[in-house]
Amino acid sequence: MPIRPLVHVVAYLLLAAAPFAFGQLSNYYAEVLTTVAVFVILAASVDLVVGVAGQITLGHAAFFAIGAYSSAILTARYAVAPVVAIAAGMFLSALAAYLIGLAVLRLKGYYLAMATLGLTAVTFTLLVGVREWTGGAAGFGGIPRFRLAGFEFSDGRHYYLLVLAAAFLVVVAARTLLESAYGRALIAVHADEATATALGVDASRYKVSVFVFACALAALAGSLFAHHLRFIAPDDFTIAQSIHILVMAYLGGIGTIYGAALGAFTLQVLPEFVHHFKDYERLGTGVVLILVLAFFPGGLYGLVRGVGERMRLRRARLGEAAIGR
Amino acid sequence: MTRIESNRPARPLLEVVGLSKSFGGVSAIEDVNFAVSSGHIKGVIGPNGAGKSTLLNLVGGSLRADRGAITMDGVRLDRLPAYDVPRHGVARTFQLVRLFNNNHATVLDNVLLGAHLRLAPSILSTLAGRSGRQEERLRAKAREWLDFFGLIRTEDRAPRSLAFGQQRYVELARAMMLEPKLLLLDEPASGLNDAEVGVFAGVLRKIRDEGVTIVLIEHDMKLIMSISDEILVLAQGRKLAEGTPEAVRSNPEVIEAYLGTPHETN
Amino acid sequence: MPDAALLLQIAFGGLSMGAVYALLAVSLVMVYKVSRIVCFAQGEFFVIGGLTLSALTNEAAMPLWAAFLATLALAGVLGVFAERIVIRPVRHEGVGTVIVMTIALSISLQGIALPVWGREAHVVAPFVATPPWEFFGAFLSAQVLLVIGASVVVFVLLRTFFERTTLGLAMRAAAETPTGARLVGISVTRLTQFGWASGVALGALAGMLIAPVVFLTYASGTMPMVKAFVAMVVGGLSSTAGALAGGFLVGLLEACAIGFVSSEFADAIVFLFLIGFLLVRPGGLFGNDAGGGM
Repeated sequence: MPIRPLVHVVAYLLLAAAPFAFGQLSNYYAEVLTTVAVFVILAASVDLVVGVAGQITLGHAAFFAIGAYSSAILTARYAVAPVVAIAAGMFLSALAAYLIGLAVLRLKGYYLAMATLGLTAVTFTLLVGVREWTGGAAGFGGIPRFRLAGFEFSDGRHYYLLVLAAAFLVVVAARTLLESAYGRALIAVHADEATATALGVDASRYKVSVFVFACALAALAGSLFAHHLRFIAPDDFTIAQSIHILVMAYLGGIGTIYGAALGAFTLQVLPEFVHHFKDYERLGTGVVLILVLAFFPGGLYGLVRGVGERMRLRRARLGEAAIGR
Repeated sequence: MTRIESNRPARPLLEVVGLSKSFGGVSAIEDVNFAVSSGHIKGVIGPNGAGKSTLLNLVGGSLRADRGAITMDGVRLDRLPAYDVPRHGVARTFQLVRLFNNNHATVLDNVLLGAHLRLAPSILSTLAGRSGRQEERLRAKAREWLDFFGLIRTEDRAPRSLAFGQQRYVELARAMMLEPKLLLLDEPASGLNDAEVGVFAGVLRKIRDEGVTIVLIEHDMKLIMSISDEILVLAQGRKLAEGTPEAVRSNPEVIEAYLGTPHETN
Repeated sequence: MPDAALLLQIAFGGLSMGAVYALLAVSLVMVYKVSRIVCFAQGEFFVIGGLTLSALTNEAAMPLWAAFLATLALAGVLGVFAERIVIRPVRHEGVGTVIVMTIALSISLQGIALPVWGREAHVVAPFVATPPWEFFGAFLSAQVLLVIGASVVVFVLLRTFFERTTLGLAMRAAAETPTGARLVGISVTRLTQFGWASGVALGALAGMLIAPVVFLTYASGTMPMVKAFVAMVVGGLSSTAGALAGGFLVGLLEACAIGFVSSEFADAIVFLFLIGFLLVRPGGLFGNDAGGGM
């Protein structure tokens, strides 16, 4: 499916305007949607690694943390410009992903899942333990607002526009990769590494490159997250978080990028509307995920597209009936 | 399309010397020597378990030899990492067709993967939008190949929805996109009926006439005998015989090991 | 030279946690042996075992032995249910999908545990009322000895089962070559269900045994499970003996890390060990599964 710029621009404008539909509560909803956008970046990037390249990673929270804490420490303690801090965080994350990826992406299946799980656990322990740098379990507060070229994003609604734009760029970039020769190479490595190799694909190189790219994006999400809540704590970067991100991608429809974005949106927004059932939220998520994995492998996105297909067919048939066939 | 003369110069393209491979103490290939002349079709036959597929895997680079040398146009293929062998002009197909069906991959996507080396895609080049025109050209070439095999209308379908014989041709199209010097085929005609085999033989000849050297493993004796310039016979991992189809057909050892006693052959 | 009391306490601590990891790892191996799946919901079965025992002995005031058996039975049923409803639909999908399905199961189970038991820790009285023993300044409680003893007993029973009984051999056959097993009349489905029922029951058993020592909450299962993964990997995914040895090894490693380095970084050391081990010898010390279970 070719990427249609118009659809994306319209979608951006609609989502950008969304908080204002809530009038007095526009600030609150802008904040909610900013968090959604952060998770869209996380889910879309993990989808590239897991859904497209087929490398099951449970380590995304670790790279999310690298970005968040890099930005927090650099901007709060060393008064570094936020944009520079983001670049530093992304670079650090990419470097770590490169070194770790070279070693760990040789593993397959359960071993890879466990190794990346271990990665998240190690990072979490270090975040709690190295108190002088990270603030320990109590967290790291006082993160300044995001500033760009002298303009400070003191209004949450303005910051939302920025983060939403970042999310759109990430999704479009990921989709572009998916539909390109690069994406085809990843898909081949996913399907059958041996055959991909027989076609000249250096599987290791492609696995590592997509991993580095995705982890750099996770760091970007982390930085944006840090400036959003202006307070971060190790509890945001646990094994449960790595799992949460993966669940978003699968729920939405693994391997399509748009599915991951939809999954992130659904899992983050739904709790807002089912307040009274808060205690049953987790059960609901689990059951829906089971149903999706068992019966709707295309995820929510697949369902939406399926409905769209049927509507198109219906219109075509109605059209034929009208002409009197 | 260059037409190659029937009395072709016997310039060796591929030379295999002393090739040996064993798996956990069991010898699959033992001290095999042979050569394939440029522009020739070399058939490889032998009873089951003779090591034919292993031989192909060794030449193609997916298996590492224990001993021996595989040289093509002066390059030691056995010294290259597996993903590098195709870059030197070696393409192959597989006994059980290996097409990709995941992530909504279509027939065209599969064929385009043969152009991977030409496109050499990277994240940066893709996001910078560099490869547009080259990809268009290669897409057209992929469609040409699909058309050549009569499969142009299947380009958007999932490979698994095609008939087995059609899937074979898709895999062949994918291999041809690599513009190989050497094409390795593992039982490409198995599962095809007589008429289809005849068509397939014609396809192979056309490919050979374009200057591609072919090594093919086959059980279909009629096909192998009619199409090969030379035949290599393997039995229990060793070379039993090598020569023209006539020579091989009348070789008593070959007859005994494989074709049966003289009055059983036609 | 660290004093004897410290060393002994580390040893006891390592053995006691090690026994829990060993039991959990053995339960994971049970499930893996029968279906080639590593169940990421095992931590929840562990917790639900302990929490159910707590509810039955405290709220329902059942005698310990009855509550114990009832919980095991419940766990068995849960295992069959999990295999049937949750695992079977995705049995033949890629590893990623299977992992996420077991994760979905784990989320659902946590989703049930949360409203039922809330967020607080739940207490279970120790099984025997004997006071702890003292050795050279280090303490060893009766419950801990029970856990250690149970892990050894379970191991011996399982080992005998898998190597000596027809049923055990049939289960291994069913996992390794399902088609071949079916051809000789083995009901692969039945065996898989039985394997899951036992695996889940074993996980619950581990939870029940440790409940008096470590007060469990609805989310307590993740860490022990992940450490049991380490044990499983060290031992080789399909080796019961390996899981047992691996469990104690991980327990001792953790105890040494707590004792000699610091309790804050103990987890990091254990998981760095996991990553390092996977990179060097993924097949495990006892196993031969170098393919990541694929």
